[in-house]
Amino acid sequence: MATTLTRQDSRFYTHLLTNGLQMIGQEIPGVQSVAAAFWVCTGTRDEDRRQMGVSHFLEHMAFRKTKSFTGEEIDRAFEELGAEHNAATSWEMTYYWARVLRENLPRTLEILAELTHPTLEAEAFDTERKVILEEIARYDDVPSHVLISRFMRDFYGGHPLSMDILGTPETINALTVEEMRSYWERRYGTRNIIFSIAGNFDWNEVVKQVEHLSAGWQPGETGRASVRVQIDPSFKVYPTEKFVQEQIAIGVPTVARNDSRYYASAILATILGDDTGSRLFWALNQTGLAESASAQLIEFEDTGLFVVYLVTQPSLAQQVLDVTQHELERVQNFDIEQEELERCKAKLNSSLIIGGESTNERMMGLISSWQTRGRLETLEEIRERIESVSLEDLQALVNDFPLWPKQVVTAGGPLPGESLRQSA
Amino acid sequence: MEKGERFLRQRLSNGTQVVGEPMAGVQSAAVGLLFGVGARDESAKHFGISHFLEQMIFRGTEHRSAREISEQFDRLGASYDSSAGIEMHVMSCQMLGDRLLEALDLLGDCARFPAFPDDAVESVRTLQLQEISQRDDRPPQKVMDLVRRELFAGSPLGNDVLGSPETMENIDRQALAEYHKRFFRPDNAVISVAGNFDWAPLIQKLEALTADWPVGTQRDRLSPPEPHQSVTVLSKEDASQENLGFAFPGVAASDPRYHAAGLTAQALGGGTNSRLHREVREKRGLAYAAQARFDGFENTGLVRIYVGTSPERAPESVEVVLGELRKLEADGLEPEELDRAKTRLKSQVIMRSESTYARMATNMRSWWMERQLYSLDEAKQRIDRVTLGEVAALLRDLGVTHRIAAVALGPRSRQDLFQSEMVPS
Repeated sequence: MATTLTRQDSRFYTHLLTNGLQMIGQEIPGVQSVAAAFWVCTGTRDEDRRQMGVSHFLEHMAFRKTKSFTGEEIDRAFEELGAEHNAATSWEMTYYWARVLRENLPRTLEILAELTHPTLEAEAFDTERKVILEEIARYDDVPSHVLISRFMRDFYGGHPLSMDILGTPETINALTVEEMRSYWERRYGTRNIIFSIAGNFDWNEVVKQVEHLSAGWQPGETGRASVRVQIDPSFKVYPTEKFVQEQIAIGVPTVARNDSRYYASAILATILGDDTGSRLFWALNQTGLAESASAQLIEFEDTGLFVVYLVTQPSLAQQVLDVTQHELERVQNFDIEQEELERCKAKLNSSLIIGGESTNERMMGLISSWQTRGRLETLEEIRERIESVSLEDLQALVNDFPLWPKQVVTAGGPLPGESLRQSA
Repeated sequence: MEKGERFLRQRLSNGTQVVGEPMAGVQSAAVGLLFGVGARDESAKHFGISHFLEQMIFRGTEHRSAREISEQFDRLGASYDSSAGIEMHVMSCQMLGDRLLEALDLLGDCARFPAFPDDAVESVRTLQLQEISQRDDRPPQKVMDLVRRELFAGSPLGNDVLGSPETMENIDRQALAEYHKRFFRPDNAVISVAGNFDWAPLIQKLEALTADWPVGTQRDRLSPPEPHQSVTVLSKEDASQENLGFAFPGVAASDPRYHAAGLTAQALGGGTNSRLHREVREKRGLAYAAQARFDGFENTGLVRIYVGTSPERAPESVEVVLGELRKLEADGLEPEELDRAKTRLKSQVIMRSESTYARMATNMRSWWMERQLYSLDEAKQRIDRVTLGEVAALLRDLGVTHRIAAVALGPRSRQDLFQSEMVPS
């Protein structure tokens, strides 16, 4: 009997190439597009502090020149392929992705593969250094970026996660192309790369092509030293006259990425600080106190961070802080009810299914599953995991990873240091 | 039309046009309610009221409190949003298709019967005041907004979307209710639905929701604005970058040259293979961000360029941008350039159509602007039909090099930055 397959009737594939490169894929019927990415398991936390920013700078250099293409050829090719494309660097990953219509996939994969093998020439390095310095200057004027930077330093101290993804003008000016090449040689090997793909494609063809494209790539190193995380509570205010609004981040440690309590933690963040209908939404947005009030979960390989982010006018900052601490205390003493949990699950379940209709989101979701669970999960499996979180699970979570009172609080804006105090 | 693609249309009893596009193979549905009201409709006393009203729209109706609205949306697993800009207010919602009709009950209630509770009015006032001052914390966005306002100075299309601290004090429940009554009418609206839904029950629901909704919108006619050349330099000593914005006129969304304008803007600054990206960033390392974008409004259009560069290199950046505009006006686009821009745009159109939300929004907008809906094939054909000659003629008509508004925000002075004869001193 013929049935129309829908986007929910996906097929999942995994394959480890003999050269060590891991491939993961989700074939989605009923779409024309396909999204693919090469993920290199390296990022800012893997850098030598004196070379802070090398991962991100390297990502930029990929678009300057690769083994077979000049930068112009790459840019032109992406346009000819009608591609949506980008690359990004974070603390643990660097990725190069594109989304195209199926008929353009083979050439797109060729280019994406090339991007992981830049030639790193001195002249291009010097020009791109200027662009990186411009980017640093741009984000120096973005209050949220400045706040997060300071917060990560306050939270992680000397730990590698405290480093700035962009680097600093000092480290970027001091960096040499040889140092970048040496970093690339160590970290961009097949053993440290994952290829993910979602949408309309033929798995066997893609495996064959990626195998061919990565033949001759060196294996490189993989893994990273786990550095012990030591969080010391603190309260710091950074007077910054050039900003108009006061920004505050409140952070506590939480579960690492592959912890079985991951979904409980995600639900907690939603209940506390989602854009709509959350505790912070009612206490701060609906009351007009804070222009922005959210809670987010940021997971790393061996640790996690639960952070509340607030933006308000300076004259309301103390009140906003006090109200937020009161909300955190309430949740810590555990006043979450079943009905609230059910509503949160309904929200998350719906957004999971809707997200599942997007090839981009699925291509990203595959990596998340792979790194969290070590395997691929169907949407139904994820839905069940969300569904299975109970009030007891949430209570156990806040007992093991308290939201309050021991926190790292970082504030920045026009307020002088003594104008903001830790709430009583 | 592509296999399986079909449009459905229905004019409701009191005039609202409903457009629908069922999509196979998806579970979600997206709905949008568009009302023709925005900053351009405001009086000086109440600048910012459209945005204010938009912030109020989910904060309580005659039948439901803000909390009830929020909890009911959440239980339906529906994500919801509203946005108000220069000429339109859109309320949108996305959910699994089997919850659409219930979500419409909520959406319809919010659209028709907002209560504007006093405490909510005070909260939104405070928040909008915060938004107004927060603009100074976002130099690129501030520059992009200012350059529109400068180009369209003297026209309501140049109005400040957020208003001012003064006008915020003038807005109260009565003003909001009157504004709502004037513009939120069925004859001033389009409803668009896309995804997993059944048409007949949808229309039945919408008829019920819009029953007895009085018609009679009083929206002022707007003449296309005269573009206003100007240079504005705002001093910000402690900014790490010099933020540069340039604007010149485009064409209206319903103009036959709409796609020619979009493709030109794309070739100029719409991606990593664009002229601005190559000349400003790749070749000279002058900036991280060097972009152009085109926006089509109901009776005019706008092309804006943004470059963020270090203060020392800002004069050079200005020269490079103006040089590129001169070259563009003189020589137009290369054939391969136009072809590649077409390929990219067509690809984007197709890929975007996989999203129920994007499909809903595209149809909503194209019905509002043109009273037309375009299948994917038709959309691709319209793009393909653009010729080099058309682009050249457009550039001549727009007169890009002598109808520019420029804004700079950063440490540099006017003399340092704007030496060229292209911008008036």
